Amino acid sequence: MSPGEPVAPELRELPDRELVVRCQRNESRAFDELVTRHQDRVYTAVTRFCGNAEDAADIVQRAFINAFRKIQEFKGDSAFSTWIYRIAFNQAISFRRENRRPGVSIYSKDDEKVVEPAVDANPTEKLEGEETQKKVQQALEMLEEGDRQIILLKDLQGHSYDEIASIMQIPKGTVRSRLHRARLELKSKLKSYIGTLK
Amino acid sequence: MNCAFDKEKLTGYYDGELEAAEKAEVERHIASCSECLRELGELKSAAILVKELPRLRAPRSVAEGVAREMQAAGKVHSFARMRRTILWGSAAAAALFIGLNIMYFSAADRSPSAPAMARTPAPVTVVGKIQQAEELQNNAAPPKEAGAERRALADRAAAADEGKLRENRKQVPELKEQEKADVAKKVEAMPAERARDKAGDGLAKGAAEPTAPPKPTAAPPGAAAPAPAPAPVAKPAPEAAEKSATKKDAVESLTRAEADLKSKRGAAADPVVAAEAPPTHLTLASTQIAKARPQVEEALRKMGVALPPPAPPPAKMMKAPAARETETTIALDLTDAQIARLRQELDKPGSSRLLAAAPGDPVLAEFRDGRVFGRKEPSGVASGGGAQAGKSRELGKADPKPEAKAEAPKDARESKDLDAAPADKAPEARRRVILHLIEVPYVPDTQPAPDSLKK
Repeated sequence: MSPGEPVAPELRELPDRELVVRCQRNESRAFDELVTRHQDRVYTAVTRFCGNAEDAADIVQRAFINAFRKIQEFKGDSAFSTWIYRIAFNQAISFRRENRRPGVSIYSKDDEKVVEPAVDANPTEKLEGEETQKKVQQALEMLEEGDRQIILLKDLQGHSYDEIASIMQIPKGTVRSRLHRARLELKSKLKSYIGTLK
Repeated sequence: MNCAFDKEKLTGYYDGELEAAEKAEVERHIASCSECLRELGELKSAAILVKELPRLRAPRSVAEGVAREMQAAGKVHSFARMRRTILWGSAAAAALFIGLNIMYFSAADRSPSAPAMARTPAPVTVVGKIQQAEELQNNAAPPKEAGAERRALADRAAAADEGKLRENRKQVPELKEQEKADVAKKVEAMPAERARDKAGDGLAKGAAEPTAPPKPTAAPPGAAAPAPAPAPVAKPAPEAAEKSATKKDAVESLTRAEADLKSKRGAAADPVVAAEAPPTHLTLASTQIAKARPQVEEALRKMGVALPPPAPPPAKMMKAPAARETETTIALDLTDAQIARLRQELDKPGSSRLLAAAPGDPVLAEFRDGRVFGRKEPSGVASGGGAQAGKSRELGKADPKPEAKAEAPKDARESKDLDAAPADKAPEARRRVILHLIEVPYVPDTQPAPDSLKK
């Protein structure tokens, strides 16, 4: 399948598990469907995690390629989304450790990448919203990788504790404690901003 | 910050991840603890700030890069798949080939029941056996494989050969019975002869000794086994012979008859040997080969034998010596008397000499040295040798051997007998004579010849 070619319509209605099975039968169109379904969410999480859009694109691309290469090893014990998030975050952590460089903020470039405005308001509110997003992003980037990852998985992506435990490969009880600690840390970073919001 | 409540439960309460009991506990606590209620609010505000971050769309480069990688991997996969397919196909073809071979050979061993029966020996004639095999072949199911047909044909041929062999074996007892019958006849004739001997003993006393039954003439050198002559005892003996027959003669005749029977039996067992007797080779060594052939023609013309056209010399019979320039081979069918006459005609003083030897005989080498007319005779020259016996014999007047000397008048007598032979005599058996005409150089003899040769 050539890049950009539309995915077959019948594949759009199949669940991830069926698509994975088809991928394991060397049906490449099924994996294209999986990429189409999950690339934006993974890209958003990785971009918030890395703080760099270009690195995030490379990381997400590598993550999907690795998933394609290892699709035969996927047993289906967890959801494909959980699996691809784990691959992507591990890829991102490795990438950041290998490339110690100052990150390029996602807000330093065009804003066309933003598909869902956080605040649908007037221009003044829009400016205030962008400022808030920058502050939140900066606060996230100041967190430890684990805290940042768990906040993004829970608050940005809306995963459950079980999914987070699966992605981060930690116990479910640990998820709540680490998430509580991460939120306290993020709250301390955004204390002044949170106070203004009040 | 003095509340000792488990604050993590506030996070779980906000995320909705608490059990009902914990949830109720948290609700009861925050209802009474302003501090925990304020902290729950701050956690909720931080989570909302993150949740309100905009979602991003992945650039096209992500999907394109993944697609390229998938294509490259797909080629590898397709190559691996093709390789796997080829391997499996080859294995399947090999298995099919082996299976077909096994089926073919197993079917070929089982199906032809008729040839298997034909192989079993049965006491029937050849024709009957072939008919039986054909009937079985027709009654049996047609063989599915071509190999079975071939095998049936081979079995049929083997059965025919076996029948021929059986017929030959059947002839052996018949010959034995015939031989026994002949011997019995001779034995029966023996007492009659004895009785006649005894009866006529007094009457014939003082009478002249009866001539012995004519012995068969000794076979000339190189001749084949003589044709079986009729046993004298089987013929009605003349009265004079009956009267003068002795026991010794009877025993001799019996022995001769047995020898004849043996020769007859040998001829029946191996007719090829009796039919093809080796030819007699005679070599005419001449210093003038041009005159040799007219000389031979003249001699044969006198005997009434036409000379066949000249044939190329057989390469196998000659060793092609360097001194010999020309050589002619003449094949003739002559009687013994004609051979003797030919010897007389050709072995005259002059430029040629007739030798009972093949061109390859070593004795001729000495004659090729130019001593055709020399007095020195080759050593090792033996009489009575044919070419096939590996011995040679010089024929003619110069032969110093007494045997040859004794044979010369005998040959002359035979030739005279031949000339005076009555016409009503049975035609004499002919034999194959190969006459070789070779040219030898002339070397004058410097030493004086002995007196005996001069005479």
